[in-house]
Formats: sequence, C-alpha cells, structure tokens
Amino acid sequence: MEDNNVCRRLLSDREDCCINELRSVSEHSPGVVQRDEKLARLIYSPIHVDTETGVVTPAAFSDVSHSGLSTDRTNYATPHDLLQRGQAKEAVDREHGKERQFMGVIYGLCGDIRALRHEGRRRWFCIFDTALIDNRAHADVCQAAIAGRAEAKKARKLLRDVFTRIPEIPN
Amino acid sequence: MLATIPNSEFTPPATQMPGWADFPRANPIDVKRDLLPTETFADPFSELGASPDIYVDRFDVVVGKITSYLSLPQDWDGYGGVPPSFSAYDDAIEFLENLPRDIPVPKPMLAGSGEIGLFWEIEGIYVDIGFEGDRAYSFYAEDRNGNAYSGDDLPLEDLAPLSEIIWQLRLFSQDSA
Repeated sequence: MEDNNVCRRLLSDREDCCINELRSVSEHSPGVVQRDEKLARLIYSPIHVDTETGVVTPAAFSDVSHSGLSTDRTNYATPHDLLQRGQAKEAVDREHGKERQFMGVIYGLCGDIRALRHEGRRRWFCIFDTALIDNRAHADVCQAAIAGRAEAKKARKLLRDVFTRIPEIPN
Repeated sequence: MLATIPNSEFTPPATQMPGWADFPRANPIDVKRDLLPTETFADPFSELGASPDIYVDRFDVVVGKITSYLSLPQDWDGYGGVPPSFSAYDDAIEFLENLPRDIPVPKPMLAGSGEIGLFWEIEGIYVDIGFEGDRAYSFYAEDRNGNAYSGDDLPLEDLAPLSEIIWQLRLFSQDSA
C-alpha cells in the first residue's frame, strides 16, 4: 500500500537524508527545486496568526515534522495564482459550510531553508518538487529524521525564522 | 468565566507593557491578569460585542481560545488539520493553571496534528510548549542570552526545566511594572 506521507517516502535514511532532492520526484514537476527559489506558504486559518501582532505562530510550521510543509514555488506560481488558489479554497470550503479565511501568504527562500544544519552537520530540512496534477508549483519542505517533540519545536522555530512573519495578500 | 470590569471603574496605569501589541487603553495593572479590550478579541467573546469599554482578563482570553479549539472541524487549517483531543485540552489548561502568577500569560496556538501549544516571544525570550494529551509536555526555549533549553515527556507539574526561563520572564514582568 502506498505511503501517503510524502516526507516518509522521500527522506532517505542514508547519511545524506536529502539525496532525493537531486532528482525530480513528480512527473508534473518543472524540475527540482533550486536554492534561489522563493517558496510561498498559504495561511488558511486565523488560528495560525497571533491576533495581537499579526505574526504567524510557531505552530503554523508544525506540518514540517509530520506530513511535510506544503508550499508553492513562486517561479511557477504568480501572485495571481496564489491569490486565486487561496480565495478559491476559501469559497469552496464556505460553500460546504466550513469556516475558512484566507489570511495571505508568507515566504521563505529555499537556500535559507537548506542552509539550516543540525549541530553544524546534518541538514534540518529537505525540499522536494512534489508537483501535483493541478498544481505544478507544489513543493514540500520536510524535517529530516531528527527525533523527539522538543527537536520538532526547535525545527519549527528555525523554519519560522527564515520565513516572513506576517501573511500578505498576494497582488 | 469572564472577569469584566466596566471602563468607568478601571484606571489604567501610566506605563505600557512592551513586547505586546499596543492598545490605546490596555495598560496592565497585573502581570498575570492584565486586561485587554474586547474589541481586540471579538471571538470567542462575541457576546460582549466589539466594545472598547469592557475589559477582559487575558488569562480568561487564553483559556477561551484553547476551549474554542475543541469545536474546530477536520481540516480546520486547510491542510488536513485535526482538532485537539480532550486530553490535550485538559493538559494544557492544567499546565496553564500551574504557572506562576507573576509572569506574563502565554499565548495559545494549535498545530495541524492537534497538539495544543503555549508560547512566549518577548524581548529575546522564546518559549514553545506543546501538549498532546499524554499527561506530559515538551518544550523548546531560548533565553535572552542565546542559551537553548528543551525537554520531552515532562510531567505537567514539573516546571523545573523551565526555571531559568521563568526567572527571566519574571524579571521582564518586574521591569515592565
């Protein structure tokens, strides 16, 4: 049975846990994610935003330790694309009776994320070009196999520190 | 649950508490139980209406927010996020109640996995604490001097691993008073 956890499938248990970054992992992908690319994370819930400061909470990055932090590669998704995706999801979910509020987008540079090293050696995060049939810009940021919930909290702080803090509506 | 004080009975002190968003009249009178105008927290206190004249206890605001997490639907975050368990809720509230009363109230947050979190991010102090409902907490923290602290599977009542951080939060509170 196929493992639906993208990170678990793509992270290698070899010394270089990010080796699968070197090859395209999706037939829909325009190519592997380059270090100079900017990644966009769409924020769909006000729960992920500190209501006093407007800044995303550390928990907004927690997916990186589990199923992968879904992002869009801005080289392949225009601000209009991002806005449309955010607003479309908001509209569809509301039609189905779900409360949804597209808060905007935060950005991080692939090179900054890949530069983060655990104790100066092993990579903290890997970034894979997990393009989807309806979103060729899709990429996942995965926490490399570093164990423990405390480590996961350190990981999300490190990741949050290299992303922008306040969601902005793309235009 | 709410501690509300009509504005006519409330005289704010002259100083603001740095590190939190500024409100026109939300000057703290008690570090643990500083007051916030309801216009900033219309939810879950919407029954009060968006009024600048009614203040609520910050501690109650945090408890209210955490309580509201329980009624979130599946996929609340747009990425398949799940609501927290009652156990995670109980653990977070118990931990919150056990915190010293002379430090700022932490802010609540929720992960897509259902883990409830509390965090501080004040003047170089960073603390991220999580509860998954197994009668334990995990945390990662950095203090003003750049020192890092962390712990996994800690009993809810054991604040010793956080003692240095709590001490610094206490100093911050005293400096702000």
